[in-house]
Amino acid sequence: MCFLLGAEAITATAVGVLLVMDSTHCVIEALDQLASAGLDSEIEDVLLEYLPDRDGLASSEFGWSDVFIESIFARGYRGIADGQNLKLPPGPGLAFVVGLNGAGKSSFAEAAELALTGTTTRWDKAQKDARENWRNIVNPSKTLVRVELRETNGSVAKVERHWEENIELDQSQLSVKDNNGSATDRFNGLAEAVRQYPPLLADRALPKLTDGKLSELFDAFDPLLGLEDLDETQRNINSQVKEIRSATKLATGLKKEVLSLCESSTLPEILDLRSKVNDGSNAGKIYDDFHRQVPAIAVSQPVRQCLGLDPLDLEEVKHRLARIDETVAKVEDESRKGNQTLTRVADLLEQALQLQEDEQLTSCPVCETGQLNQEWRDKTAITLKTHRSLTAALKENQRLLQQELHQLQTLLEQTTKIGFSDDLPELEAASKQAQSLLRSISSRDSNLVDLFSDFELLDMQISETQTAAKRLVENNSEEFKPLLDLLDSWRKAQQKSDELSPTKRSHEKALTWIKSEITRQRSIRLEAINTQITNTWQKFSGSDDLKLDPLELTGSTNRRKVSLTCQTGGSEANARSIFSQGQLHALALSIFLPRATHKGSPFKFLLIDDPVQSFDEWKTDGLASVLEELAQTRQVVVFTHDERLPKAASLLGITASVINITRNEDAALTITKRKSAATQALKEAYIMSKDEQLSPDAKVNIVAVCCRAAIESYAIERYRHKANQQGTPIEEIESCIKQSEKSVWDKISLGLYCEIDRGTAQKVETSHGQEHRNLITTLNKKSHHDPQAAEVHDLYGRTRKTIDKLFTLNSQP
Amino acid sequence: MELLITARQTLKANPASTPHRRGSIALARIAIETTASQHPEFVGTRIDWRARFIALRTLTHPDHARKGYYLWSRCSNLIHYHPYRLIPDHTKIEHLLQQTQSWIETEQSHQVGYIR
Repeated sequence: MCFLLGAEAITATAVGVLLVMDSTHCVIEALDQLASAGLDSEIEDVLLEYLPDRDGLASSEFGWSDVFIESIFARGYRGIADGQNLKLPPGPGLAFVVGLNGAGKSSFAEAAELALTGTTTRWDKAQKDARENWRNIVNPSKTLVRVELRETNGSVAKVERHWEENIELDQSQLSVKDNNGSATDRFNGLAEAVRQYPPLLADRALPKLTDGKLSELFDAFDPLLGLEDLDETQRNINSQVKEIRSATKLATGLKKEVLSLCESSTLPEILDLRSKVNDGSNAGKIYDDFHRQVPAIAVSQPVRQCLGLDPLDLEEVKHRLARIDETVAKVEDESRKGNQTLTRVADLLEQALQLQEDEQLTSCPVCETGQLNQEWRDKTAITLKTHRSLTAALKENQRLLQQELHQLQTLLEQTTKIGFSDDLPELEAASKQAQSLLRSISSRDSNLVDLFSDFELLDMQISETQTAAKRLVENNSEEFKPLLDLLDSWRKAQQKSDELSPTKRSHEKALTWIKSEITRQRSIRLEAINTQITNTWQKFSGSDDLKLDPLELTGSTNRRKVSLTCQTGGSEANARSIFSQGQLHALALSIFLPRATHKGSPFKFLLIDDPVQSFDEWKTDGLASVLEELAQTRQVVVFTHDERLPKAASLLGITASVINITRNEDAALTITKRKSAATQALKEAYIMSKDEQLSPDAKVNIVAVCCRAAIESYAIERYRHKANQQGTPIEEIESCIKQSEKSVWDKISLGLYCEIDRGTAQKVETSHGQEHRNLITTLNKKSHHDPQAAEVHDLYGRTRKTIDKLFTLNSQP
Repeated sequence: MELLITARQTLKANPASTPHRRGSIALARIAIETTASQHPEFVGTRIDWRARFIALRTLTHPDHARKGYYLWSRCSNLIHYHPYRLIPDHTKIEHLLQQTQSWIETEQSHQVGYIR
């Protein structure tokens, strides 16, 4: 199936075929357009992302069609207390549901709207106090509304909504049942069908089109074009474009704020930050770097160094001190053992061995008795080795001692070298303690193990100093918090902007495309509607000196407006400013009808509540003609309190049923099918003639009134029929009837001769018999309680005979 | 006044019935006509009803005469069968009967003190 709307489709509108105007088709057409638009793939991707998926579109076929409405039932709703069923004439045709103000007819119209849509124009958006009494006051519980729908194929569905007590209007329980009372899915998609092709026009919907802002008027007209899905797509893309633009704007703004905040600072780190921001470096990295730098910038060098101090390992210190003491003891012990003598003896023995070997001496040169033989050499070598070993151990201990001492000194010097800081007085005490320890270690006045408690004290001081230093960093970093926070916000905004920016161009282009597509489709669809609007408008307002220009909807989102212009006296004028209320209502009806009667609609009925409103008689006649045309193929039900519309239909010879709604005590309603005035009068005469409770005098008076009215009505109906057939203008017919108002004989004259003849009484007597003249005279007198009236028996029977004689009773027009 | 009582009874007997509603209005109109025709100036005359109410404007208080003509016209209009004229509900008719009663009482009091 091809949904493309081209020139052929537009041509088709000219012959009265409306385009498909539901939202599903507008999307399909947009997708088709997109396929052939040759856009960049990025832009196409954006549009495809936002447009509803073709496969996911609901079918415009509802699976049911040609639906008529058989009845409207309401109970406990507004003006209807007990269950009342308004049966409507089935099939195509025009029906008027008439009743005085407050009779309950609009309650039925609303009940139908409520059953089909779940809400009503009256209550929707009404102020809270105006929504209070939607339930009937006499019977507020068990509220129920129901419409009975019937397809031409005979399928029936009862669409029903009911409310338990204390349930709000918009929380009804919906059920759709078939003729047997079983739940049915026969009318699935009913709500969607009502939304697309609203078959109901509430009385309050008409003024809405005329009183609001242009954007509201746009909103009222636009749905008629069925472009909701495209509008929604445009709104979504527009919203994304706005978000992208706003992210970029935010990031730029925050960057400026960062630069502005850094402007007055002379700190090298801040200057560096400024230059990085200006260079366009990565916001995230700038933030991370600065975040790390803050503690360094916040406090002095000694404080920072203090924070870098390694904690003392007191156990290690303890061992080290013990080892030093032990080594010192060893060294001292070895020293006591004459370590120096041993070294000198060893040197001397080494020289003696060398001398003996060099000179080949055999006896000791000192005592000259001792033998320097091999035995002497072996013994001397052993002694020498022992001596050398002892001196080496001593040297090693001395080296170890130096090493241990050096390490302790280094440990202490890391504290003593930090220096002082005015904002961290604890540092000075720790430093002095470390210096004191250094001195003690260097002098080694006593066992170093005894210094351990001093190391413990130093450790505590270092710990306290570091705590104070941390606090100092924290306090001083507060100064940089606003900058850090700002950097953080900028970093995040920049990150979002960086993420979104690449899609900015494609979104903007997609937005431009969808806007132009909506404009294109709107223009095509509006042209189709405008043709129908013009046709309908002509029927309403053919008598006006106003030519309606084609309707135009322009703009979108918050710049929506409607161009409603007309031509009058050769000049263009704004229709809204010069149209009367009645003309605006006619325009509104002209707009409503094309969609409600669209060929895609599954509904074959139209319910219109109070369409006459501000119409003058010409527009009322026009409305009757419009309704007559619709009723050729549709069931048209009009709710009205205004007798002008049924009267106009009667004058124009339009066939219509009339259903009367009257209100009785306790909000009970009476629904009757209206007969012709003549038939009704005769029927009432019969009813009253049979009323046994009436006194004879009252009965004669009342029956006389009804019988006389019956004769008058037959006469007038006969006159209308004959005059119409003769081609007498309606105005002339009505004028003659008006002239005959004061006399029963004048009316009879019109009915018999189509003119007012003062000699009619005599003519009747001559042509039809004296008894008929006498009866009419009697009825006339008794209607005014003239005591001189004679022959008051069987007024009803005699009246029937007279009517039959004069106008042929059973062949009334 | 008897006619007006009957009119009320007729309405009360069957307030939802159109012929009874219309009948009670017919009786109310006759009650107005009967009362007006009892005015000393009209006794024994055969004058058109509209003319009587015009004449009443000079014979009695003009506002009272105008009100009488209004009530008579209203009733006349309602008892004639116009193709799409809607018959009022019982509350509106009761109101009409009440107005009629009030007018009749005033008219009767005027007639008692009337000197030709």
